[in-house]
Amino acid sequence: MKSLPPAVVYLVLLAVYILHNDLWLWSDSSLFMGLPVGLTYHIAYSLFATVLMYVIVRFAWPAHLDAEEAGEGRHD
Amino acid sequence: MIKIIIFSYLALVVLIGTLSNKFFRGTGEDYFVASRSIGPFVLLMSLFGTQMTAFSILGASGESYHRGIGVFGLMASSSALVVPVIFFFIGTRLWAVGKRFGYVTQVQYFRDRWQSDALGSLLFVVLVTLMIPYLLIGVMGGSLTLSNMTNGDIPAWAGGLLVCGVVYLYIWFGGMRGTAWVNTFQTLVFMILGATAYFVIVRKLGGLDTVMQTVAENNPELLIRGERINFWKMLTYTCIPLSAAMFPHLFMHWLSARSAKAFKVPIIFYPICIVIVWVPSVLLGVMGTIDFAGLQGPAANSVLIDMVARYAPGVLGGLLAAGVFAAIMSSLDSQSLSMGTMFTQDIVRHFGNQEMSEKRQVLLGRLFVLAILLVTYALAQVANRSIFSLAVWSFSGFAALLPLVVAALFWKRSNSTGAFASIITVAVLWAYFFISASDVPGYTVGGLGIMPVAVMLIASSAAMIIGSLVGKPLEKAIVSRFFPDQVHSVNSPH
Repeated sequence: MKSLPPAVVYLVLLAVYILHNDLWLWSDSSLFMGLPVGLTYHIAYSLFATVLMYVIVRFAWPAHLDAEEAGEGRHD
Repeated sequence: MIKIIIFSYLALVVLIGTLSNKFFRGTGEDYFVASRSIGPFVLLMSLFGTQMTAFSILGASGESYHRGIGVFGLMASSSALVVPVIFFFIGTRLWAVGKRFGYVTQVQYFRDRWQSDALGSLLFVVLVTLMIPYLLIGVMGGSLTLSNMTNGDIPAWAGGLLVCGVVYLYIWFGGMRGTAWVNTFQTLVFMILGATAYFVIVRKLGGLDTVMQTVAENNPELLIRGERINFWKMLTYTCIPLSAAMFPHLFMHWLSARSAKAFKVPIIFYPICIVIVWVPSVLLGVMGTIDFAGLQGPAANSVLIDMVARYAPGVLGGLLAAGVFAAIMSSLDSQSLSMGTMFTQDIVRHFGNQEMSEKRQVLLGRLFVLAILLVTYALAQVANRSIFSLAVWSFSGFAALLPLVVAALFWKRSNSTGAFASIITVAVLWAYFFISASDVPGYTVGGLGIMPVAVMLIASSAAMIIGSLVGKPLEKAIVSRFFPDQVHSVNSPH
């Protein structure tokens, strides 16, 4: 499985972070999917964060951490 | 009926905590970090439940009542990105280092990493101070909920006392394992009941379209960010979720994970959980302006409870009140336990008896948790700031300490000089801003919308860098323990 280079991960995260500031919807009170469009955007943004996290976990996981041994105890 | 349901719920929570005691091994490590055995699902629920407080349920709806839907963007969607990123880059690495060296508190790690007792003590004082407002909002939220849901039959002081008592009982029995189990149950409860409350209330108000139309006619400014939330405020507010990197209770939950892989589920699903909890809170706050117009300042914190009482009385109202309790207690427990752990490990054990028996560690932990809950309860009786405002100050302080953990994990050249400079900078600036804001509602730096956290974060980062470059580098042997070329076994020499 090919890993994503760290630089790509950082750049994507930065781009998504910037998109948090949706200046173009600042004073738009129209409704989209029954909700104010500014709220709908941020709900979609949050759901996209899940997709992004899945990609990062899948392709940029710090595998060296998996080498730490599991605990001896009972697992909940 | 409401009282019966609430008391039944509280009894159930205590029962779950008590059951977890059957798996208790009698050791300090088991009591404080559940022998590092928590799996992915329980880790997600306990991490999320711990993060969601009275702030997310009551504070968010109260703030949305005043400022509108922009509150979701301010705190929720930014957390949906920032918090999982912190779990990914910081939580997993702290778990690994904690596992390798047997840490159970942050102070133990930072003391060891930078070889400074004094630094650990200073950090201890700062962390405890910042945690006080965060603890307060749980007790205040509990008081408010019980009083409002019973129309004052149960006074606010009794509500707070009840929350503290229940939390203490299950921490006593179950420690971290009990806390994680109860948090899992409570997180599911408040997610399910929060969503239920939303649908029931919206339906009784005539449906989403009708409600939005009414809000648009009466308070159109609540449907946009407009001038109430300007660009700088939106931008700098995104610094506040960075606080997750330095919360003592999150640190302990991270250490309780079974493996690094156990973090994958929380990292991926945290944003969805945010949506499930915050969307109803924010929307119900906005909708509250229809029936409860004119609430001023902190009075709006009760708008969600008022709406539940009006539109979902009886059994459902009792269940929804239990849901609010669930959110409150799932944070208060972890916070109290982490404080008790810090007093036991970082003060008594570190400065007193390092060879303390496991039994005595557990006993001390339990006694310190009791003391912390009592002090918090007493302070909650006199505090009068809004839940949202108190939480933001607490979060701001923790977020400004981010450079500490980033430098410790990723910068070999960092040292105690930089760490001291960073912590002192945060302490001074936090006190300055807190005092400056005491008479100015909605205080921002220079009145421009810039949140104090952004200034504190930049200053503490600069202090860390400059201090570390000026200070003496650590010996290579020490640095190499924390930056091994090869992965250590967990049993590597301390």
